[in-house]
Amino acid sequence: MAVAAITAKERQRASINQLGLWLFFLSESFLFAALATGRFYIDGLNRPEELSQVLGLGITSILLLSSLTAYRAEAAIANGDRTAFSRFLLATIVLGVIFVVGVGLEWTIAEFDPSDPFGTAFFTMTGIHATHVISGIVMLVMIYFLSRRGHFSAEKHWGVEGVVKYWHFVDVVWVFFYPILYLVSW
Amino acid sequence: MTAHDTPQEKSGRAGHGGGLTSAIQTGWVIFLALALLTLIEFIIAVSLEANLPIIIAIAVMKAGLIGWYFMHIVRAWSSGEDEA
Repeated sequence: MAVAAITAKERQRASINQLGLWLFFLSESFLFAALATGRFYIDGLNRPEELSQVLGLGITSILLLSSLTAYRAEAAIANGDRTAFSRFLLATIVLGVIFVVGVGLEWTIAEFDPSDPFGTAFFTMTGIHATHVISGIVMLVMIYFLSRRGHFSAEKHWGVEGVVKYWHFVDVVWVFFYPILYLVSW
Repeated sequence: MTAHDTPQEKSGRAGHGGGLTSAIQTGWVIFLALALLTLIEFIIAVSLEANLPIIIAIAVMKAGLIGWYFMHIVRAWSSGEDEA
């Protein structure tokens, strides 16, 4: 009886965790949708020639690869493989740092001014997105150190699942931001 | 897995196709699909004017793949009992 009550309570808590996380993603989606819309409102479909296509494609590939390593890390802990979990988590962190460095490099070499219509959209969108990537890296580092203390197991790893989902969400945002900034034309 | 596993605990394994090997395969297949779509997106962008509808359609496909396979979006609305 008591065990059944505890199980029901845990089940309810798991559902609430999931719901809370997805509601958070929904609220974040409004912010990013507003930024994407703003890009078209401010500068239409204009795309400056001096935008580095190679760098854009490069950092996009890095972020997509980091989603794979994050997924592998989550799969590893779900199957109790702590060594693979740590390895893939570290790989995700490194790839995230490379992405942020790539964005920083793009900011340094960009030949358009932040006060230009395109520059306003570009620096705002990439800046807010990079802030989310940095917060994701911080959470991944926290998860890494918590796992070293034995906080997660195959049975209990909601913390890992939540942070990895957040990382994928940030990747989904870039899946839209990359073409909106680098590729679209009319 | 014990009889007292929470849905979250069960889904940790079930969400990865029931095994590490399966999860690894799924991960690689989805990553390669994403890479291919990104390449197609890039080629269309450099070779085609008025590409907005195609580019956005590809972005939606990529987001769908990540949401469905990496984020397990379907699990967000499941009750838990059906995941065992």
